[in-house]
Amino acid sequence: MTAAVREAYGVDLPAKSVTARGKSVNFIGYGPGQWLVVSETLAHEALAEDLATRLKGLASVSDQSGGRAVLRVSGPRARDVLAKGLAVDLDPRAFPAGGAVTSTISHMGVQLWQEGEADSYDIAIFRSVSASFWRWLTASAAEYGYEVVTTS
Amino acid sequence: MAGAFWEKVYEPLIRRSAGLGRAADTADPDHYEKTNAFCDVLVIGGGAAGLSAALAAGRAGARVILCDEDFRLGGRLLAERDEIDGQPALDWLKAAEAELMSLPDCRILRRTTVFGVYDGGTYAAIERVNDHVPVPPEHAPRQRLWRIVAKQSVVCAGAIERPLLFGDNDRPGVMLAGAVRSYVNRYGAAPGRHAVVFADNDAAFRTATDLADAGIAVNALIDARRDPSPAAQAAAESARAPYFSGAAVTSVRGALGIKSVLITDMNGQNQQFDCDVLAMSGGWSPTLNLTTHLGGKPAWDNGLSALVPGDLPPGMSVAGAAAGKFSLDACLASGEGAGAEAARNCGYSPSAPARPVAKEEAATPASPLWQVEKSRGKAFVDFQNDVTVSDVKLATREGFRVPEHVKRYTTLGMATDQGKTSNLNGAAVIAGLTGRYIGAVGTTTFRPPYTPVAIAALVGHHRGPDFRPTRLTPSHAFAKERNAVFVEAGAWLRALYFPQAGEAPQDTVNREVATVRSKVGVCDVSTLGKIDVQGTDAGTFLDRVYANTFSTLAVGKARYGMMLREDGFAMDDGTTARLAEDHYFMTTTTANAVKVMQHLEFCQQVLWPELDVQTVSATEQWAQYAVAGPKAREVIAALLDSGQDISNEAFPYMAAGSFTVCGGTKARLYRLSFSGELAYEIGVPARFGDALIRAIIEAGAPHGIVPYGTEALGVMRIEKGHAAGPEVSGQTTAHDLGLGKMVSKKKDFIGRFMGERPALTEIERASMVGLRPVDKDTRIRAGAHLVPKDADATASNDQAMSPPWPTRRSSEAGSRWRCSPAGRSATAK
Repeated sequence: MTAAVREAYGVDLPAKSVTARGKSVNFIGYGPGQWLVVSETLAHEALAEDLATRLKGLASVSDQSGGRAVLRVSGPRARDVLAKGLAVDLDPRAFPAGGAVTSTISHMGVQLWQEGEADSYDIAIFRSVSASFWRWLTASAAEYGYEVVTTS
Repeated sequence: MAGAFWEKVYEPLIRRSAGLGRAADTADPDHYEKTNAFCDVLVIGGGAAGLSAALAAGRAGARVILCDEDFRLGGRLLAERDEIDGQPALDWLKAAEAELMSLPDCRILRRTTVFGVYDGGTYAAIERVNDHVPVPPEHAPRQRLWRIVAKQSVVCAGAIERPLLFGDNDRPGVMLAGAVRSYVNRYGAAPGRHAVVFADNDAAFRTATDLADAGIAVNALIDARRDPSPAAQAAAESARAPYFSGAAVTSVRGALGIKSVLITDMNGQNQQFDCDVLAMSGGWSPTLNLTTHLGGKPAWDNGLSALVPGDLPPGMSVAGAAAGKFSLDACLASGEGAGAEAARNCGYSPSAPARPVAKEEAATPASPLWQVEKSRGKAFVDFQNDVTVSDVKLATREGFRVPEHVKRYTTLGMATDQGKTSNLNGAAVIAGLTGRYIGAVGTTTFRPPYTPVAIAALVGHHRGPDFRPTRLTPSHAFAKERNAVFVEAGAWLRALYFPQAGEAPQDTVNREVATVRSKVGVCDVSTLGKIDVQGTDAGTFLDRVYANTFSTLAVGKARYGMMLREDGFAMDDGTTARLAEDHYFMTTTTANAVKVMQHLEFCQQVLWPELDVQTVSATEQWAQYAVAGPKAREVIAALLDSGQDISNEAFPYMAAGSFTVCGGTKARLYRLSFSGELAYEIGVPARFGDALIRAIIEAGAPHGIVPYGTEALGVMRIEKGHAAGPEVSGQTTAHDLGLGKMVSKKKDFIGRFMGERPALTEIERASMVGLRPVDKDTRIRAGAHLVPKDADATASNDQAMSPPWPTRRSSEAGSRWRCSPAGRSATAK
């Protein structure tokens, strides 16, 4: 499977909880033999279908694109905001660039990974709790001030 | 009458005079929050020792958090006139603070008290962010609760001064010597015009010098120690006041404020001194509370006449006054040493100490007075709970000899200060009364929190609608528009029913049921747990977790399954479809979705890791709707893209398959029925959920479709005899639920062996039965008794569970549970 992934996406499957960036898709390790795959170019079912085709017989692929909301929290106070719910040390000394973690924030399951700049984190949450999560996030960020930027 | 008088007059009177507050009757308007922090070295206390520790650790490169409960760092340095390196200590303080703030990884938390120590190097602290302002700035919390995980901690919590026990020691104007020095040196406020100092230790007599230098008259220095102390004598000289050794204050005059004190000198002679402030000190007790939160016992130090930290939790060290090192130089030295050691334990290499030096004054050892025997009036031990020496005496006369018992008899140390000033004095009084050594009497146990913490701070964001997360279904917005009444199902909000104008709830439910049975209805069933099961051994895996067989299920078919717990009781049920040879799609009940997922992961990872099977929750991925009723097929067919056949022949009962709807959207269709009517469940990726429910309503409009809620669903499934959560209660077996035939005899599966235990297969076990009302117009309420038709409504005719219970073996005589197979003909009356 490692070879198939390298062949198809030009990336080595990470054996740990980190993000491995490949061509058009990132593999994020979140458990032994389990990866969350995200893509900014392959939308929705297209990603799952692409993976299922290329990894046929090697891996089970389950589309989660409808079941997750992904947010990006960035800025100099990003870690202070996240600390209000996440009991994980995100300091660069403890959390490597591209690090990933599965945990909870305010009783909601999250998958979080460090993306791009040092103070930028992507968070995947379950679709059903997105309103509750948003309330937590905005309440936690309010003291520092925040700006909401939407993507496509 | 007497009761009312008590309630209206006495109790309010007593409560008022006891100083008890009133509970708030409106919601707290402020915002509180919780946060997490991580560090190498947590320094607790920002006095001389704490600053030294933080500097030593921070200079070595460690990540440091320094917490201090004051709004300003410095601890006692702010209240004393010390010198460090020959300069005023405040200069050193300023430089130390500036250096700490310049370190990249040193976080200083002011107004923050570390109040608890927990396993794994976890500490709790409360930051009073905005307690000092009437209204916190917008978006700012009033208080913030910190959960700090530290590899090492250095407790530099200082010490707390003890009062002396003499008659009327609670009169206004009697105060701790350290408090007097804080007024004078830190705040520049005169606590009185003329003072007397009464103490048993050298440090306290500095108060006389400080007062005199501030222009406040000192009328006498009363030293409880028999031998004169040179330091105290020098203080007396500088204050130009008489000094008495071996003396004590025996009474205080002045009710609303002291006017004078009466002292008894070592010869038993009395003298009176005018004063409006009496500075007293019985020595200092190290603030070691945090060292005991994980079970450590303090040790008695005879030389210091104080309890000092005993066994410490892993990763913790103590420095400064908290460790019984009372001189400034010892504070600086021990803080520096502990900070450097903590950094070293975290893998850093502190450079050689470059610590500042304070002049070490030769001190005459303290000789604790503990109690003025001959004084008159009430001598308070616990000033907050009004416990006096005579109360403690009464307790010991009653036979309470250990502090824990005396505490409960007298409430000594049970006020919100938790005995910070009174515990040791109380122990000393007990020791004196019971003829024991104070170290042998011991002390009560300190538990978190060290200081009172507002419940709101522990709650943080989680109140009101944010008490816990709310899960919203894909059709939530639609349901809200349709006026749905929602019900909490775990964390989910589900539509209970959809009332129309002027409709009573029961009418709504009846209408929804009637419409489904005569026409068609749609219900959001997305909350059901959904689990993707894939892999070449998926069929084998399901055969082992379900009581019935799934490996024989044809691709494109669904089957109802019953899962048992290891102990043989029913765990959960649901339908599972086979989408491909190596791909099943399992559904669970809403309530057990998480539990079943955990169970499957356990089976997969622990029981049978050799199986090629992968499971993942897909609950959130699919918006799923049940479309039920005689017109269900027409509605579904209208949604399908052309060329797809769902006739009874092409898509029979229990069929499952992939289709496209609404112009190319991939959907999964299952011919399942929970309601008992002709029904389909249709699933689309959740982002299409809102669009799909609206499309279903539109497609169903010509047929009179209604959305129906969980209440109508419940009515229909009960009338159909389908078991659900209330029946799969953890106390029922598949047999009890009437599903015994499903339990395979041909294969092994979880719960098979334990399910064959005699008690679980006994014929007289309670079992689920259907009941038809004799009188259809009268509502049978939950808990109603069932009696045979035409029988009198008496207890002896009651067909339900009646004593004796539980039954023994069926061979024994006696009335028993009647809902056995023999009793199934019972009808409701």
